[in-house]
Amino acid sequence: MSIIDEIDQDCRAGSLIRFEPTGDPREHQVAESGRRRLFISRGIQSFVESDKYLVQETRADFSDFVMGELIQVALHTDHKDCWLARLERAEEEVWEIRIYDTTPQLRFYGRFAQQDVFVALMGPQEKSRFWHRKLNYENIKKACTAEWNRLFKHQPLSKGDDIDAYLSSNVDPA
Amino acid sequence: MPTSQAMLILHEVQHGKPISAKTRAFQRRRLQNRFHRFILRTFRQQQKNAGLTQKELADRIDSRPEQVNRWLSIPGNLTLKTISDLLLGMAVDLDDPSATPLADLAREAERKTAPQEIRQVANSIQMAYPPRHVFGLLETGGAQVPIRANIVRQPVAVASPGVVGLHLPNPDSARGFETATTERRPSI
Repeated sequence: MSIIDEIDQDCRAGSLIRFEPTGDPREHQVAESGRRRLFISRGIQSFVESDKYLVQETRADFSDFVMGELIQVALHTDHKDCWLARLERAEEEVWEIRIYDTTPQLRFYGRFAQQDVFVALMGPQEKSRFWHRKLNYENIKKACTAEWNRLFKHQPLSKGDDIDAYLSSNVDPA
Repeated sequence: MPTSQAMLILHEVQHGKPISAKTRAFQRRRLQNRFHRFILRTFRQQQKNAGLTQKELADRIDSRPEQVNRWLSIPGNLTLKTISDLLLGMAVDLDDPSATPLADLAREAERKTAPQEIRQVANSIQMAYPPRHVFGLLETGGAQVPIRANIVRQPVAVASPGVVGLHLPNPDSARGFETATTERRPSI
């Protein structure tokens, strides 16, 4: 059973949901072959269906990701500003999606299952500019890894610093 | 088959009054992202073609390199003033932006998704009735096709298998509408 089969199984069971770019009037212009796949946990799904802070900004950013639009990606977290960043240590393969706006910003966490297939498992976490509200990244990575291991037998995609192995096109390396 | 996203948004724009805060927030973010991608692509092009660096761009527009880096990295709140400065600093001039009516996008989506048979029915209905009488969704066999027309009210087109027709507004009818098919003209 491949990782995609496992994801399919989780989607059927309702523990993962494939994010669709609803709300984008040009949605029909991008064929399935040109799309990235984004799977989200039930918790994230509840969030994107809610009226909470930055929900529409999150949905629009997720839609752009799925529609294969240009995104800024950092393989190392010393690149401060980008949409998608891999957390240190790289071999842990936990990635952070950043929803920027006014503070607090939002963060989602997940891993690549395959090239152009991302599974977002945790979030949203609020990212404040105040030092005493810093996110505990060690705990986040642990929780994200534990959730992955609960859902999948396969390990996440791990391709070192080859950014094209994670995302096939429209990537601007930060 | 679901109605296209373009059709759903168009419907809300025309009938929402006001358009919901959710839709407006979503579309605002889309536009922000699009402008940001445009600025980023333009910078990468000038970087490649003219050797432009972020430091040089910052110097040209009297800004800090960290700020330029931030503008190029995330959508943020690029104001028109900032966009103008960045474009000037990159030594480019904006071409006239263009816009596509949502109705055109809806038709384009419909052409891509509607089965041939449904498209033929939709076309025949539109040809049979004066356009001002025909607006809404043609629905048959689970599929929906938007029908273009000037809006008098908001009739809803429906059809059960084998019966294709439109619900057209008729205030004299107890139901507020009448059902019309391609075989006869509606009397509104």
